[in-house]
Amino acid sequence: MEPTDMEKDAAREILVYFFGIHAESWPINDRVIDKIGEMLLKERQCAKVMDALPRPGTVDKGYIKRQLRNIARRLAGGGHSYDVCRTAIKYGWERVVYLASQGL
Amino acid sequence: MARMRGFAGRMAAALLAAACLLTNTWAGEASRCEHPACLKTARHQPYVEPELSGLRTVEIDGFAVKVPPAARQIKLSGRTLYLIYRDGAVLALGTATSPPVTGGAPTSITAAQLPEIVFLHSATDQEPRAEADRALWRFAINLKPYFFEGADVAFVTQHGKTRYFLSNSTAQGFSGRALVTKEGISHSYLQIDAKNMDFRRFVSIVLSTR
Repeated sequence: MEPTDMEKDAAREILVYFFGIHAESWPINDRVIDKIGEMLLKERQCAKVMDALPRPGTVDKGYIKRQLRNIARRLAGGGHSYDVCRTAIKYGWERVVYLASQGL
Repeated sequence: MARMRGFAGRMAAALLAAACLLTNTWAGEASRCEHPACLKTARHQPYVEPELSGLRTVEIDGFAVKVPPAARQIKLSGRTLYLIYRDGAVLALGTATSPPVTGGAPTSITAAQLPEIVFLHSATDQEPRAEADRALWRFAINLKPYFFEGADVAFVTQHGKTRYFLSNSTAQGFSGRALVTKEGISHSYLQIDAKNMDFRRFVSIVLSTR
């Protein structure tokens, strides 16, 4: 299902936080949201961000979508404590997420 | 006197706490990599001149790469140029500088040395002693899964002043990944990634970099 406008806004905030202002214009689709979940869950340096979220028994596909606003809020308020996570994701995921935004 | 000692003690504790806070405001060190790919290293291979014809040259921050012409789309986002071809192949090219992981502290490791750490060192190697160097080293080691996960080929070769670090890692859906450094450029390195591209074709493109 196509993300709602609110989900797209939150996803865009997350992308700008990690990749910079040029990510503001990237189209947001379901693949981008999947990649946001994948990068935050796979990147060990980001455990602090994810551990701060309410975690259900299983992290299903809809979980990240439901948590986008929370993630964006935590990142914005996290200050320097999330810098290692931000740098790791910037270097490891920018191209993957951009290509997902282009449907590739 | 006892009151003075108490005051001095509290001051020392406050200074210590402030110092701890200051060090914690660093981007800080990444944790040690425990991924199996962090134990892998690339092999050295002699340079083989790539067979190329009809290619166009793309110049990026001092690096010149020969790429197939007639891309269906050419897109620039941030520091990365994306070439999208009709057959579904994608090339992503762009330079990267040192990550901001030393909190501004000087380091003896340049950006151009990072590809060597990623491809030729492993998580079990001795880390540098200096804090800033160690932060960069550890960051580079943590990048290894992107270049070694799913790879059965990973090699390093050199032509003149240019060094090429390549793998056919399938991590994140890519089909080829490469880093290129050039003597005389210490502040950056070139990263070339391919998706849906035959690895031999990718190697030819990467080895055309001057």
